[in-house]
Amino acid sequence: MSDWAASAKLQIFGVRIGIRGNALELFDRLMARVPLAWQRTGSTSTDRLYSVISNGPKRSAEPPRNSLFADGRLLFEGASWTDLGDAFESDLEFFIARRCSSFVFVHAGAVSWKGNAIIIPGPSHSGKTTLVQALLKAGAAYYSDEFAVLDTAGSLHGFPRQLAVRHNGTISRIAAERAGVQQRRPCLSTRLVILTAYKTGAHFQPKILSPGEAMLGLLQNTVAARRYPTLALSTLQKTVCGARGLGGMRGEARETAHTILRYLDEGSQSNHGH
Amino acid sequence: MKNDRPEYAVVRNDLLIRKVGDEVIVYDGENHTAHRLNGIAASVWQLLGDHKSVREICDALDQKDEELVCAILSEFQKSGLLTKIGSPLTDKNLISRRDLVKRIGASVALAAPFVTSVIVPSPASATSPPPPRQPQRRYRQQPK
Repeated sequence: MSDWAASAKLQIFGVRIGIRGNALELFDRLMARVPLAWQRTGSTSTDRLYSVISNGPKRSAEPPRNSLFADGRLLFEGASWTDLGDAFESDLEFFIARRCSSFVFVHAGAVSWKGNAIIIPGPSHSGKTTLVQALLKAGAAYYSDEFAVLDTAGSLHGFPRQLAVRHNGTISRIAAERAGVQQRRPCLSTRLVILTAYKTGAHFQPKILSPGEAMLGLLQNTVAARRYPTLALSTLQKTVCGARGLGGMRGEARETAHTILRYLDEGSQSNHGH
Repeated sequence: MKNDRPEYAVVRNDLLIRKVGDEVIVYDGENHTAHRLNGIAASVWQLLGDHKSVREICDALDQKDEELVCAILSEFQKSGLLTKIGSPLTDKNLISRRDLVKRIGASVALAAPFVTSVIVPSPASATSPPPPRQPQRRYRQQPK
């Protein structure tokens, strides 16, 4: 007889994930952290199996200790459900991005504006999430603040999750619903690739990038580019062929967001360059 | 007088190539680097792939002298994109940006850099770091 109170087998962008827990509440907390693009699958095998175990307190005064395993390897152990959820979400997203062989995952923020996809690739701490938040406040629709997921036609798919906002070295989470996330977003052609990073006091005066510069910027942030270089190059080639690129340091996110959306609205061909 | 300029060059055949507009993206899986060749460099690359000599490339690009093509070849060589070059590019015949401006004029030389290179990241460095959490044993076995 199984000791697991609940289990599920999911497919997320073609990657098969198993989740099981010996306590229903813990299992539900993990399921709430799964990217919203999942579907249940009847597949018997999984690419990665997560097991969450509530061990109960060793002494009555202690909170219960929870353990999270991925394929039998301990990922987290502790009392905090939030930390456990963070460890699970981080590992799961990274695993999907690394393993997926039918979509390309670019470390990027992504939104849509009037049916056009805007992708903002960049490393951690470049201010992607802050800029995504500012774009949402200006009326754009959320696709992701972590990964731009591109299919082989170069179209953008949503990767909705809780927004992870860094402030003074700590990360706070904004629930997907509060960020206006819907489970299903239509896939979109990319119209704008923005290579930018935050710099104190800067004003966003971008220069127009060539398609090659935009593609190099995307490639530099593509998770599995080394593993699947042919897929990555072909996909990014299609992504940039209908897109324009803008590049430059940015200051305040709100001002930058308005500049970006105005640029898309105007369909400007002029170079705002330095 | 010995002519120390290259007469021909051979591009590596183990590279992934994608054309984007008038530019070319080259992926070097051996060194995990990606290179963007700008428009003029992409034209030279294409002609090298067609086994054209340096002189033939100059003719095809309507370049009277070989300075520009040699400058591009030297960037290809520095980026590790060539397997062979007809005459080794020494310090003497490598062309600096300043020399190039003098010889062929600012408008063409300003098209440089002809090759822009980036390191393609490992998966771990292309994603956000996980949130900090308590130190822990990493390989404890899952209880049955």
